[in-house]
Amino acid sequence: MTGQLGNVELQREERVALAVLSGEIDMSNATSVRHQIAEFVTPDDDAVVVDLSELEFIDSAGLHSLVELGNLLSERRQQLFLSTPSGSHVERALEIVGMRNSVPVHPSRDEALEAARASAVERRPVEPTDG
Amino acid sequence: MDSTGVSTLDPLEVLRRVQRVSDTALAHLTVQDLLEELLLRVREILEVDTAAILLLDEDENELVARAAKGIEEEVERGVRIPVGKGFAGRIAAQRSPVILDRVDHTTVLNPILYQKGIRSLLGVPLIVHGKVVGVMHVGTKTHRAFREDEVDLLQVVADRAALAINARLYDRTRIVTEAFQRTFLPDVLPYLPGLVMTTRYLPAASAIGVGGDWYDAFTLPSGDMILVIGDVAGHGLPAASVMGKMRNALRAHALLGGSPLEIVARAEGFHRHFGQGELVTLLVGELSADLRTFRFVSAGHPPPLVVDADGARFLANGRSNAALGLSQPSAFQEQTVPMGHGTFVLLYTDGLVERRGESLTDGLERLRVAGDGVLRATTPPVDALAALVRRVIGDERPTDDVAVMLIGREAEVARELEFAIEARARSLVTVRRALTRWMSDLEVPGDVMRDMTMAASEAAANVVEHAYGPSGGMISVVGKVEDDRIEVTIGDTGAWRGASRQDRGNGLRLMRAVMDGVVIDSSPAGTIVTMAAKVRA
Repeated sequence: MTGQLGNVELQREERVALAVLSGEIDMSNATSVRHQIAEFVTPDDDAVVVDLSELEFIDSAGLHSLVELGNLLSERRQQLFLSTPSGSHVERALEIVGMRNSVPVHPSRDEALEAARASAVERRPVEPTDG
Repeated sequence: MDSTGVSTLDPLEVLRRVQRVSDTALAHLTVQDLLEELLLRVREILEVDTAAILLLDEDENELVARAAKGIEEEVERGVRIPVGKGFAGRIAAQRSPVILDRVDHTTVLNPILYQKGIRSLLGVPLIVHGKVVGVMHVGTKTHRAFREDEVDLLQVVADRAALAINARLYDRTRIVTEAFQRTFLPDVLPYLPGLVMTTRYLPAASAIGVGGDWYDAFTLPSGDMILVIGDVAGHGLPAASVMGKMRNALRAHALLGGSPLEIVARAEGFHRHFGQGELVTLLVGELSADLRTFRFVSAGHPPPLVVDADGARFLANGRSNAALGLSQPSAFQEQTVPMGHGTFVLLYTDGLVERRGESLTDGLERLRVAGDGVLRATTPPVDALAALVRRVIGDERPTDDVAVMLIGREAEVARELEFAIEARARSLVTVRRALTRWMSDLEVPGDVMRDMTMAASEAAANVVEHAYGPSGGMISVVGKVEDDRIEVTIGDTGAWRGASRQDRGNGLRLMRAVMDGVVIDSSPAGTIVTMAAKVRA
């Protein structure tokens, strides 16, 4: 939508929380984007997929907020999956800052969702924690 | 108080008594104090028991008790008398003195008068510039036959009072309305590099004209700029307060996102639901952050004037151009203006083009000709706008409010880019848009453009985060192109605090990875980061 810098669309697909980011994420909205996703995720979600395919721009603050989201999720035994086409500028940025090694990145949303569902099988039930 | 023994006043005594209601001691009183003091003196010089002033509420066409002596209840109860009804109403309607020898429910509307035992009443109209602004009346608790010279004396007093009241009321209304009005105009215009923008607001010459015109401009999180110009019919505080509401509502509506069409549709719904049927015209425009497109929707507003190399012309307002509340939201239509280099768009309120005794068509043509002459010349835009306004309305203050807002693009493609912007996170998008626009004007290849924009955005983010304390500072941006090389420097004048956070380290890593060269030059005077990229043809 015009007027906004970046947009987050949230939906749930079989116990996987899906966030589709579009527009631009920079220092001005990175924290808000992370909060929007974090607030959407419930303890019942097995994993979280953040689709970056439609993103026009993301800066290091935006990438950092994804790292922080991943850390928050891993404390709850929920795994973060990213998707962005191979060779995209977002993929290159992930590569440069070394995030490709710490977060699974898939070339499409569907592949990321599939990987997320597969990870759910391994997830053990946990008690909800604070924070 | 029996007055049968009082003989006709001699002229000197009349003068002396009139003097008492116009002496300089009254000059500094507030309106209320002035009214109270006048009544005390009137009571004294005419030797009456009661005195009261009612002022006309023009909107309701009613007289409202504003000050009273001997019948203070009249004011306390906020007595209102319709013009034409009762004693005071009759005076206002027939614009001449009225004497009552019998005071009861058959002759007066306000029961306080006979409840207080008033037997005789004399009232005169307060007239300023031929217009009734109120009524002043005096009464006695004993029967009294008011003589003609007493009627004349009260009328002289009333005339003096009317002038003083009028001057002070309008002066005050004017000051308050203008001050109120100005709080709703932006103090600082938003800044987009490469955009020329200037505005003017001229309050009407007469106090009654000041009121409902406004303009507003602000950037959205996307970096796009919203421009609003509007006009609430009517004048004074009522119009100004509707204007204030609309202005704030529009800011909220714009922040929700969406096109000018959606913003106007929301404003339409807002006005339908919360408005009291006031006539509001407005124009909402959006200038894209890359300055290339201006799109707008008009709701009953005069058409924008576009001036470019081809001349000056008005843009049609679309199929329906009804004011808010008078149209179906679906009838509004969005118009798009491509903003090339040297294109100006002028938004204005009708005070600029409306002149008594002249058709609107003539007024618009006068504006078009002036715009063509002034804006195509290479004057600095601030002077150009002042000159334009002067040419259209002359040197005198306008009879109605005038608000004007001019936006335009620099005449030529700039080989060098240079600007400074507030070191805030929200400025980053503006830095990126400005760089992209500049590089694409210079036909820099897309991948170089993208890398440079990313690197510069990271460098600017570093400034936001590290260069300044909370009191803030500026980010300076300079871009240069030399042969096959493009160079952008991001500078600040702050003393860097440690860049320990991981994302900032990543920022530098990103910059180095996508640029052919990154040089960081830090000194106590500030830091300059120079980024260079090769431009392959």
